[in-house]
Amino acid sequence: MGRRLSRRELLKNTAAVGAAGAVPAAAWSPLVNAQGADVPASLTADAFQTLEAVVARLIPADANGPGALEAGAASYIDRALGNALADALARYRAGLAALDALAVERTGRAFAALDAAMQDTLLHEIDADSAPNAALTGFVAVVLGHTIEGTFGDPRYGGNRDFIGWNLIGYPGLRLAVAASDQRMSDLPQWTRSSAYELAMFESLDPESEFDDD
Amino acid sequence: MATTRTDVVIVGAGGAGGIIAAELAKAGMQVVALERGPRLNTSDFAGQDELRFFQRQDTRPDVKRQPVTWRRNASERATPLGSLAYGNQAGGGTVHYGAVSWRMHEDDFQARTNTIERYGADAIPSDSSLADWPLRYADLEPFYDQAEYELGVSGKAGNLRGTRIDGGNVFEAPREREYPLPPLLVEQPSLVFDEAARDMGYHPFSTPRAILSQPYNGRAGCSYCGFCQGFGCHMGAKSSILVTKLPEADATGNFELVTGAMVHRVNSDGDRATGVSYWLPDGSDNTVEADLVILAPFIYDNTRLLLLSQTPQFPNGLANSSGHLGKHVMTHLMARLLVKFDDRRMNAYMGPSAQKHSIDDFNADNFDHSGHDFIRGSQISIGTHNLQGGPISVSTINPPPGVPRWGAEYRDFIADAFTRYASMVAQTENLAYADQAIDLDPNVKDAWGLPAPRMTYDWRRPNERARVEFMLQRMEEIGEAMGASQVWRAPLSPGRPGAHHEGGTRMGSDPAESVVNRYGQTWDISNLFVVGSSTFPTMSGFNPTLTIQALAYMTADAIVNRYRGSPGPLV
Repeated sequence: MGRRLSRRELLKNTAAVGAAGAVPAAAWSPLVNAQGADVPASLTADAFQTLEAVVARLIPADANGPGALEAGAASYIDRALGNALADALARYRAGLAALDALAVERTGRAFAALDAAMQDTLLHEIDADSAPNAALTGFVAVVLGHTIEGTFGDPRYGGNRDFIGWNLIGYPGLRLAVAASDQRMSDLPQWTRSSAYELAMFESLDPESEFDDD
Repeated sequence: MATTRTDVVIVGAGGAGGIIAAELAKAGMQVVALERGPRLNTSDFAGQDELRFFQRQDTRPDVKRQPVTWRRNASERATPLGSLAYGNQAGGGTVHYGAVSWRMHEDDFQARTNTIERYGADAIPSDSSLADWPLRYADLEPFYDQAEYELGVSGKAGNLRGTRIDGGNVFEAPREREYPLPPLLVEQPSLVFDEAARDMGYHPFSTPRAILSQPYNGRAGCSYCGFCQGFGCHMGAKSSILVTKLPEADATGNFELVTGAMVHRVNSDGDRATGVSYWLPDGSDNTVEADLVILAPFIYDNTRLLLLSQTPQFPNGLANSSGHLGKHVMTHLMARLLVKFDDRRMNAYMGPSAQKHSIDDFNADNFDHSGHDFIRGSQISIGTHNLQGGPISVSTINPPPGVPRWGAEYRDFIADAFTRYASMVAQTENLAYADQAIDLDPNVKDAWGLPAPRMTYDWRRPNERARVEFMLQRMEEIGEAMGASQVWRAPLSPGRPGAHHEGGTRMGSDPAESVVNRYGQTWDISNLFVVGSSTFPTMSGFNPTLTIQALAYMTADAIVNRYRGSPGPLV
């Protein structure tokens, strides 16, 4: 563990550019209910709750800071299931329902209601070669891939909120030019925090436009 | 439905097709290029959107519309590959590639003869179709030079007309002059790699790449943003065909590019090609009639188009009287080793992935294979684990043994390792074998209803396994010498095709043993050419693009200066 960025390092690195930047103005923002919780766009409320519980175990929050759930990875996935990841929507519906059914069968309670240790036990079970149900075969790997996208991807897509993902791994941020001295350094460069679509060079581009074949 | 007429029709406006289009159009020939994807501009690239370009692969083929299937052997049913590395736009793969730009060794062109001379015929696996090229390095040198200077390649010579130069690749073939541009900057992983490799008696150097280290031909130099492989360059500093040869072709007034054009047949009359037919996005079926037909898509479509274009005279595929069409496919075996440091940051996400340094001591026949149970070798480089090192690429970093792929321990691993790891890759030569092949999948169709190209391939043969194991051991030694606190191997692929697919329309000296001659001209149909890595008889441990480009220049030269005056066989 000792290699993690210390809080002091983190503060030092972000001081020059201000604390974690606001989500870009042009970015998508999640629907929220009166309690401030995310309202899913593609999944049912139950399925979304299960998904939130899963991503929270794949890259968990711990004493060192927030994880995938806090970064908004579940909201990222839910929204992407309505566009770029639409082909995976049926897979998510079936997988999340099967996972909940498995939890009920084993414990009498929904997956999201279980404690972390029990959730991990079930996720390990379905991540083994012999998942108990076809809908769960390979499901953890699928969700993990998208959880990483939603934790470490550009905040424009709704994840990596407050740059939680980039802070977690110590990624110093986007920069249009890197100096020779930065390239050679064996410690950390100064951090910057912005979406690619906040950079003047790219702000007029729409990341979800199709490239036209004609 | 429309029928047009031109001098030359080229299928695919990528790394090879774009060069031939520009050279023939400059010589006054009327050229039409048909490109399946769009034509993008430098201003289309939000170069730092890793989700769009690295993860969702927006410049690459959509595997659902354009599937390529794979099976390990003829008894399996093939399934679609999950991602495809080639390009799907004007400029082809050169738009998003890492831009590593090697010349092959002199020895690579004569691997069969040299192996037999040095180690005896028994050193070649009995099932391998290892072959010499029908040309020598010296034949290609002027065209390598032309490609480096016209496109813009940065590097340092290691062999100038036979004089070895420390700091360049001392194993490279002799070059007539220095690179047009000096090497890119050096980053931390390469500093550490170089020092260790040099201490071990190896010869590290800055990898040559088609990225401008300073302004050149009106284009800006690289700014080291780090989002390079998988991305279109927002600066135009990557020497892609999109920013080099296509503007040249445009300027002639003799060049027309048709985008969104899906070519489905090469038309022929006996032993003469008459043109090609293609579908447009509006569903129309169109024909270009041409005196000269040049195929330059990625390797799958060279084989597929010729198979789809069979005639009574060529029932096994157009220009396939040899029966070698689709065979002798090779891919680079990517053996990877990870290193992590406690005392320093590697910051491997900085700079273009191709910036990293290499050694060539274990490539080709650059070392004595006596006593080893394999031939040929690998080029070994330091860098990120998989093509680029942005934050989403944490997904590509294989955790060390004992660390799971998810959960609290995984979180701790990536939090610790992301700025502290580097990865070495041995890009390992794959010998040619006739049964590593491409044909038409009888079960899977693409979005146009054509059978998908199907690869039958499994790299795990004894010679390949021994070569990969040897390289992993060498990389482990280098990793220890670098002072890494932890060194671990990434798992090897379960037989899956690796990087840089080559072969399928191999060139040769004998029409009975090959599909095309040294110029890419098919033996059977003299006005039908195939250009690209599908013609390579062997692959070396080197990335293919600069050799593809040199061959394209050589073919263009032969067409302009010889074929045009007296059409017919060039050999």
